[in-house]
Amino acid sequence: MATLNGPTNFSNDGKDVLEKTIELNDELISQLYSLKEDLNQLSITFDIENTANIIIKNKNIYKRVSLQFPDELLFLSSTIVKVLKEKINEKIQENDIHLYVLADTSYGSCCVDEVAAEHVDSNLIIHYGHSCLSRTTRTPVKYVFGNFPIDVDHCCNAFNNKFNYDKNKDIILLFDVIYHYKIGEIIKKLKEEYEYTNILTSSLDYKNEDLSIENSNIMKLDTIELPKDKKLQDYCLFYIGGTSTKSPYNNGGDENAALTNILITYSQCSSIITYEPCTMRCRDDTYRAQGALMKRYVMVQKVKDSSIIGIVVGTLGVEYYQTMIEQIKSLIKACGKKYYLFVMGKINVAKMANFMEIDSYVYIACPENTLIDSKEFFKPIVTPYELMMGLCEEELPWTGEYITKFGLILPCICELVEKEKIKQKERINILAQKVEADKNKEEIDFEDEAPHFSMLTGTLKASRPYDYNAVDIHMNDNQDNEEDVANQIKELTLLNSTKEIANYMGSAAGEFLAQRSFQGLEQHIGETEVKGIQMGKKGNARGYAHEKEEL
Amino acid sequence: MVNFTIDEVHDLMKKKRNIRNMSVIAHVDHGKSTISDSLVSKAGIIASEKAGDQRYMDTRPDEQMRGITIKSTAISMFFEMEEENLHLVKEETDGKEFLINLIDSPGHVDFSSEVTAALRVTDGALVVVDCIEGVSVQTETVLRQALTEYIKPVVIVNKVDRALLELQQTKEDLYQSLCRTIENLNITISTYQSKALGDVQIVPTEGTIAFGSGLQAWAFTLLDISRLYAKKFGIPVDKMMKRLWGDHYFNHRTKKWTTKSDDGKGGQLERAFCMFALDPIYRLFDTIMKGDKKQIMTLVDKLGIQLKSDEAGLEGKHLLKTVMRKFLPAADALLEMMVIHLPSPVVAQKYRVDNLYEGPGDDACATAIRNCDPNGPLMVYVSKMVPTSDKGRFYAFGRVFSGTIRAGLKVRIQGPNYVPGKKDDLFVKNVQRTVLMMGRTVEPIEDVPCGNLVGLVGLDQYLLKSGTLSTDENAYNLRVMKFSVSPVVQVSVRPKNPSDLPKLVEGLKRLSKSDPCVQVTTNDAGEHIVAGAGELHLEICLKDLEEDHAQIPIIKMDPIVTYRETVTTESDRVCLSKSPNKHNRIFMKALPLAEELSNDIEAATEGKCSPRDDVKVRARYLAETYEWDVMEARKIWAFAPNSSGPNVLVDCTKAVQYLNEIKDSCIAGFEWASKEGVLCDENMRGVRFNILDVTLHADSIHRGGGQIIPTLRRVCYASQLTAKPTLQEPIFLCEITCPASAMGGVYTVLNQRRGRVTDDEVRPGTDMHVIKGYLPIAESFGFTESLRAETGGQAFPNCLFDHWEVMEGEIDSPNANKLQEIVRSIRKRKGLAEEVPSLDKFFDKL
Repeated sequence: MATLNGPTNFSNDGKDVLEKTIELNDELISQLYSLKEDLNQLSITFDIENTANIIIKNKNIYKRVSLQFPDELLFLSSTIVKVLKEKINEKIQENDIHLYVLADTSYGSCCVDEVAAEHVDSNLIIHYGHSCLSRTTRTPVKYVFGNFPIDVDHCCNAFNNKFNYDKNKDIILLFDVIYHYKIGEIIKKLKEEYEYTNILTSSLDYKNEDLSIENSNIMKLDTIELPKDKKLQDYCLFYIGGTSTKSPYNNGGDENAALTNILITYSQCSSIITYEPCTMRCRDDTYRAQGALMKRYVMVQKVKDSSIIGIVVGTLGVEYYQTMIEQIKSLIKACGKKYYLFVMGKINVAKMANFMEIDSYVYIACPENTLIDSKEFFKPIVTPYELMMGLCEEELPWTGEYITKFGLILPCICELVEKEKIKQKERINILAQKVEADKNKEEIDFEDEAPHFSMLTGTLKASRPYDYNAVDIHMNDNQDNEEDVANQIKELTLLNSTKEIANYMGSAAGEFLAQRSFQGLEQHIGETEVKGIQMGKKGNARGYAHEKEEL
Repeated sequence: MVNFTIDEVHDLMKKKRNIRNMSVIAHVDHGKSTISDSLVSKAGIIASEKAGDQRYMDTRPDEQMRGITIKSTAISMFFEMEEENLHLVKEETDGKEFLINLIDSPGHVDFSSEVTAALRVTDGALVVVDCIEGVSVQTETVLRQALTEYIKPVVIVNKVDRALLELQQTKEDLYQSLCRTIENLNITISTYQSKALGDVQIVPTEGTIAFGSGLQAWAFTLLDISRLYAKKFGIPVDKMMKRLWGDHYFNHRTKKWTTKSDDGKGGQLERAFCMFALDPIYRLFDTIMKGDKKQIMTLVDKLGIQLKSDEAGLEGKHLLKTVMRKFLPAADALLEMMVIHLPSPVVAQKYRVDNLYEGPGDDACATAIRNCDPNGPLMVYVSKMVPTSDKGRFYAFGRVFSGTIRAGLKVRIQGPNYVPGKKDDLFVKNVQRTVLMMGRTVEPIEDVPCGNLVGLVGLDQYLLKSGTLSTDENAYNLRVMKFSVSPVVQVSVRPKNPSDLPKLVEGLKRLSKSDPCVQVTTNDAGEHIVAGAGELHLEICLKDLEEDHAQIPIIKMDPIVTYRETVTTESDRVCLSKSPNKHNRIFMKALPLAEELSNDIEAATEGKCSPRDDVKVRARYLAETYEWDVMEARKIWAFAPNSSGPNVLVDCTKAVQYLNEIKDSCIAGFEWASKEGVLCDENMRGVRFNILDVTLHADSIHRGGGQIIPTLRRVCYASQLTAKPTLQEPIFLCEITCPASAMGGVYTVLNQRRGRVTDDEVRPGTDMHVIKGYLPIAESFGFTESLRAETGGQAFPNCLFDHWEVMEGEIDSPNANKLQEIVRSIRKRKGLAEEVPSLDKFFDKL
């Protein structure tokens, strides 16, 4: 150990970023290797002809086009650009159309990265591969899912086997968008050839030629309208799509984010069957769905025990995300808890562990990225819906129902905010009375709010509302005099210990600081000798100038 | 009819010298509830004829059905002492009326926590011992508990009638067996008695032990017998008493007392105890069971027993019971014994206060408790929650140690984790009502002064199981109770109908309140876990959950055993983990803690390496007892999990800059790692992590929590993996009583279940064997049933969690072993990858 000479040799030239290996779903991608040579097939698979036509048609608008690829398709990007460019050049000679490949995305690769596209001032984004189809609001988007190979006969057969020839069974058929091009065929086959009568499926309308935002494609992938007399419990779910992908967040797990989302939102279905076209595997995931759902239940419990919540913004594109953030803020506030707002690019363990005072995080992102198995994270990361269930248990009890889409959550959260605000008002009134009484050194009939029972620890946990800020404001309203409030706080400072001030000021951070053993450098004012100014460090943190010299 | 009114009780409550708070404790089936019946009947609450049959204190239908007590039940009674005997009471008295607050407790080892809760609020204990079975494990356990709580014991040897009727023991044999029982009791007492409590040995001639039969509702102390004969012999009662035990003989011929058993003419003299105490009883038994009416009547008359005409018509055992009850009424003997020998709150609180109160011994609260001051600050200890008829609501049951509690009083409710000056675990609430617990019912009462037991309405939302109530802002907690059992047997439950989940959760919350010991939690997989002390305890809890608390159908999954992760050697290398940004490095080694040290930390006894101890005191103790380096011992950064567990993080670095800045992050990472060990996410136990060296980036932003917390966790895992990690499994101590003929079966069952026998004793005078052994809890499910099956129902086990035992085998051994199998099954259950993560996931190269 003694051989170490400080952190000098830590500095690197950034090559690990370039050498970063990406985990891929090998089976799925290996099917596409041949496309690098077979250009004809490539242009069919990735719909190049059509794409080129759209650009050509609007050549005056779409001058700068961004092509967004998920990591696993990046190896095809240069070829696709080449072919696309050729196609365009064929039609319009000497054009000023520029194509850009967005090499890295800020959030998930399933979401359209409008911000990255804005860096090059794009007028159009072409999104390749799997997509969560979250609606965007700024730039027109053309989705190219890619026509990934699927054996229709085998799929239908597997379907038939699993449902045991029960032709009248109520079945919901869902699929990964990359197999969308064959879904019509599959359904037709199932209905006509195999005579299944009650199959519901989601509609997906993406051939729309008009890509402008106003006429943005109405996409419904995982929203299915059930007949009025039926419940989700009456249905079986059949899902066509990838079932395994290695994700750094899934500790040893191998769940595909899109599938996880479907498993959790449809966990109430009586049975869930998944079919993976690239491996031709068909399996029953009912049990896993319930397991996954119960893990989320734990998250709800964790929210319930939290006093300070971090709102992490993990998207800048998903429709309604701003409204969502605002609503979540008001909800947390109305529930007497404290929030902090974070904007973070791809989240990781180290980033999230930097804020020890936060009890749990709520992650605002597209439905597929929002469900994070936060086992490796220092603090739990929950979805907005889980947050709502955790904060307002009485109004929104856990029933097994689960929503990830912002559009569906919003009306619900607005309602909750109103209800909680009323409750908060009552709380504040009582608190204000107490503060008033304390000031006048009177005794009033004041009772603390009952604690809740934490299922995680099996003990009672006090809900400690940070309403004091609000109380100050409330008092302020009554007195119309800021000085009074300031004086009042000063009085408190004199009367009570530091801890009490922290409470009255409603500062969560202050409370946390009081608990820490290291509270910053001690100032030793008047104890330290005065010295002249000295030269500090030079360079950047990766390796300061003097450290390089030492090396 | 009840022979007292609530008003009378209320008046008596103020006479604190005339209060006796006592618990009835014993081994299972030694007859606590039956004895309690006798006492209750004396108060007129149940008819005296029914005493012994009704088990009034068993308030639940399943208690009546199974014939065992599950919950402790309290009752207040009124007792009037004979004026002439008042002088016998060892302390000052205030009139001849006494208030007896009695708590009947369960005897089965699984419900020991109820006993603990009962003992806390009482000052004396009536220990019931079966005349034939003698002192059993549970007798010892409860007695030990009583003594460590500074509770003074008195004893009744119960079921003496069985010795006469079933075993047909001779008087001398019976005397010898009583002697043995007393001797055994005194061995336990002398081991655990403390200076503060003084000498509490059981001495028959002092009258601290009674003999009798709960079923027949009779009992006597030597005092009763002496009174009968003192006049006849013309010697004082206390002198007479001395002669009634031990080697004292009365020679009828010479009319002289002697200490030798031969009568000087070659004949044997009968021991005074046998002659004066046992002989009349033997004669009565003999005559009545023979059934000769005439002889019976003569004898009954001679003994001065009045029989009513319908009673005289009875036969056999019924007649025997009636006669005996009138001859030596149990309630009188016992109540008198308790009043004379058990302390009043005034006396008891003087020596109990130091053991009870966490704060300084000279503050206002301590002083008020010491003086039992009804006008001092209120101090109440709530020891358990008692369900009300209103579903989901509870009475907070406890003892007023100082001050007076009344409806409408605003109290500070201090939970177990409350620390004075902080706001955690503290609530302010008004008491809605105060009630008196009367067995199955409650009686409203306007206020309750110190020294009494009380039920409180309106506080149940703020208290989980127990807590301290006070009116003084500076009050510390009354010490949290320590249970002799731990919730080690677990089962996961889920609602049959998934949408009933909220009801289940509500039910679990109520269950958790209703039992001092049970624990309910949700694990990371979303399973709801109910943990109890044993199989029976769990069975009762689940039944309550399903029928009372949740009232929904429940699916019970297979029982789960919790393991602990530990290490067996020092890490074979220094482990290094780098932070995510590679700018910080932590070097660490893990090594095992001594088992005794782990136990010390878990026991959290002050001065013995408790996490709350002063650093220097702790370091000295560690250095002296466990040969730690004093400097290292002073640099224990944290205990974990929950800041109090038996794992330590020690700073063994030398001169590392900025180290103090990352301490909080390190502790957070250590807490995390020890809560979820690397093998299978179980808690760690008995692991010491030494931070050997740390290199940190010069900028604080690059050594923040995000960099340090996950890194410290990783290096803990690396250290654990390199230190021969294994599991510790919980082990039951079993005591099995069976006849010699069933021994083979017992040994077979134990062997099949990886158990081992440590002790095998024959109970003197019987052919009953008492086998003691260890049994892994993992193998204990269905143990009772298979034991019954194998021995034709002749063997009864008594299991109590004893210790954690390190499991054999190595986790990375190429040969499959039990350890790997268990680890894999736990990982599977928790939804983790089945293989233990490899070292290179945590161990970084330089």
